[in-house]
Amino acid sequence: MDQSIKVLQELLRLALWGDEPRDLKDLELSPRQWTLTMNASLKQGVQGLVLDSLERVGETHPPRISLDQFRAMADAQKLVYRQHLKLTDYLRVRFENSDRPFTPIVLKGLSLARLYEKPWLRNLGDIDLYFASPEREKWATDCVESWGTPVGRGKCSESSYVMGGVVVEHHGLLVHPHTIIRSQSRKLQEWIENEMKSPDSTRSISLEGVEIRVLRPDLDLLQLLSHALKHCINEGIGLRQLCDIAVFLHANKDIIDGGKTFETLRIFGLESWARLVFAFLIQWLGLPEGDLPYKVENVKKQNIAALSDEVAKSGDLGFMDERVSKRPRGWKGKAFTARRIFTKAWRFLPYAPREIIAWLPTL
Amino acid sequence: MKKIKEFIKRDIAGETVLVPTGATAQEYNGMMTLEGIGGFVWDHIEEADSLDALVALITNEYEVDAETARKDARRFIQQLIDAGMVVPETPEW
Repeated sequence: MDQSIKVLQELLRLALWGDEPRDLKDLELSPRQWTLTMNASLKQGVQGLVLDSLERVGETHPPRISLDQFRAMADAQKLVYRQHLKLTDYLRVRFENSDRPFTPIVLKGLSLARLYEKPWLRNLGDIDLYFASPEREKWATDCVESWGTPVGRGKCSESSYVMGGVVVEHHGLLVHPHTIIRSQSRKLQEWIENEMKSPDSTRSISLEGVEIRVLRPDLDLLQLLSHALKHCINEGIGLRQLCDIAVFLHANKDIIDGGKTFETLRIFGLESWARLVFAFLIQWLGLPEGDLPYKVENVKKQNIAALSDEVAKSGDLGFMDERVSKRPRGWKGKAFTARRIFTKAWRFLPYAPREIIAWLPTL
Repeated sequence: MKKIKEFIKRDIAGETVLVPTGATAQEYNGMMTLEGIGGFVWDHIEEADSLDALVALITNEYEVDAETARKDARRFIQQLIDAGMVVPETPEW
């Protein structure tokens, strides 16, 4: 592993688990190497965690200019974090005081940020609210429109709008099971809707005075892994998404039901993908094995290496994937895209066969 | 002073925010962030029967001189009146 990436790994482990680097000399890099480390952290969407670690170790700072830039970004992230808190609370109060009182369930975003020691250092994008059924999602979207806010409606029971400078998305479906058998897809959706009728399917947590409704851990993990897989086989997956899953497992290790979680992931065809992700989290991010909901074995080293390679190249949600920018024009470009898609499909086929097979015809 | 609109006051990450509810939510699409003593004034505006009484409450709670408190409270209350959120009930206001 390149030394600049090794340092990124050490800094993330320090931020996530408080694991001090074995030797501070390991963090001694040339200015050029530091630039590579800092750029990699930006590409992976984990610059807040890296800043936190560098401020903890103190001695071996990268060139000052980089750190000042990161501090300025962290200040901006804090403003976004506060806006998320206010808007999430605002929307909850509005929906709870409507003609059909309902507390929306927060997916990702703040529900994950709260698990970090300094929640504002996790990049926040949009606010994702889940309404537990397509019918209720439609009602919630109608509500927002009645307030005078323009809303864009998607095809799969989802909608989005901008409020207070933040994109808010409504979801009627927790996951979008990709399967070529329609009846199976319908059955999976019914399974989720039935689970959501149970009073223990959600719980309430508090963050800085804001009450946030979140999913039961096994359902939350289903959503996180499904979302990560979707991004992995489409745009890309970065360390931010993987750090999220790692801190989620760490925070819920005592309350997550291992047997139930395994069964849920199996039903959705995500068990193999989960196994690969869990193995990566242990090997790359240093997640303690005991934090996993169930024991994971038989993951080939080359498959973990393949995921590491994909993560390194695609970065946070694939936004800065250099492979995409190298796409040539004309027919060569089409061949380039086809090769990229089939390489990914082949690489992840053993871990998500149902998803890959259903995904290819949609291209 | 009487509040004539329905707002829920929320304390979020050290900030005070008013969220409209009920019929008020049909008029106001958004939240209002109250700064400084705004949250305290909003909480006590109905129990004080005059500006003097409100200033006394403020100076009891905060380390601020009466003149500054009066100036800030008057400006804030005028904003609330202009926004149609409160109406004076007695001439003392």
